[in-house]
Amino acid sequence: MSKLKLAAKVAAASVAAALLAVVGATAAEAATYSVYGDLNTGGYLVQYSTYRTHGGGGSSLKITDNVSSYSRFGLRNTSNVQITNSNEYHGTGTLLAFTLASNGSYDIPAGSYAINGRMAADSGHGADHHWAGTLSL
Amino acid sequence: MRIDRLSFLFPLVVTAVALSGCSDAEPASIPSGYMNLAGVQAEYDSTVENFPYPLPDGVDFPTRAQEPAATDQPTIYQKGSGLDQTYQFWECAWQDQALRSQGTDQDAAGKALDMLEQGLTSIYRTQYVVDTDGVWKNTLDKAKLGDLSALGEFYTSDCIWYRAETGQ
Repeated sequence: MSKLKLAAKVAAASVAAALLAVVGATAAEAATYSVYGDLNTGGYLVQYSTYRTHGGGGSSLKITDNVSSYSRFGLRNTSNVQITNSNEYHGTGTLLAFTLASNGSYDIPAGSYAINGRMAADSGHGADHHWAGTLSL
Repeated sequence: MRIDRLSFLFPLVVTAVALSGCSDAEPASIPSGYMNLAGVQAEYDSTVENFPYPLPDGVDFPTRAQEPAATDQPTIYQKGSGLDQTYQFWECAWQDQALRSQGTDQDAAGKALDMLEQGLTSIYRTQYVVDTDGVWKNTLDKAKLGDLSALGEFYTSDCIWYRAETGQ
């Protein structure tokens, strides 16, 4: 992960103020994914394009490397709708389960989901916008 | 030297182009690897134009890519977002065929499942979907054995846009 993080930071630096983000996933074990990327320091919503197939049941995200301010993440369905409430992460190490925006249930229906993310705007020079975590889905 | 001068102008040109189509919900600049809504539409159009698999008879891709659910917040979209939509629509069309043909036209249902199986090797399934448990493949395998219950769950969750566009 350290090499990946370094690569991400080098790439981000090479495009100056531009935000370069990549979300990748490798399976640590079944239905658990290492996820990472960069958010936008201006506070824009970032819609990632990698979907993960979910057979139904609970889902959670643990943030192991957070941005300089704080971050919020949710799950989006294929109809461009974020179906979960946004989980808010301050610092690292917190694992939060996703709940359905419609009824608060922890049971996420079978389907295909991608990550929506944003960070609180941080105008500081070189603000850290990189994040990493573990997604269970 | 000539290239240096041109490269100096490039950010200004990009900014001018970005601002020309700007709305309140669009960010002022788009970082590398990301798009605004116009970029999503362009990617969608290009994918539709070169789509390698057939749709069921009587079904066509929508002219417009999906609009964002929330239009009041600046949003950037990772590249692939337009491509995703075409393949998701295509998969939904064949899921619909399989579910509607179940029990009444086994040949049609079988053809629909064969098409979905072909899609397992598509650029969408291989580059934009992560399915380490093989949930989708298992869903298709069960459907081929006559149990379309899981396929129906995916159709319910994943095909809202398809159903809205086709009136299903």
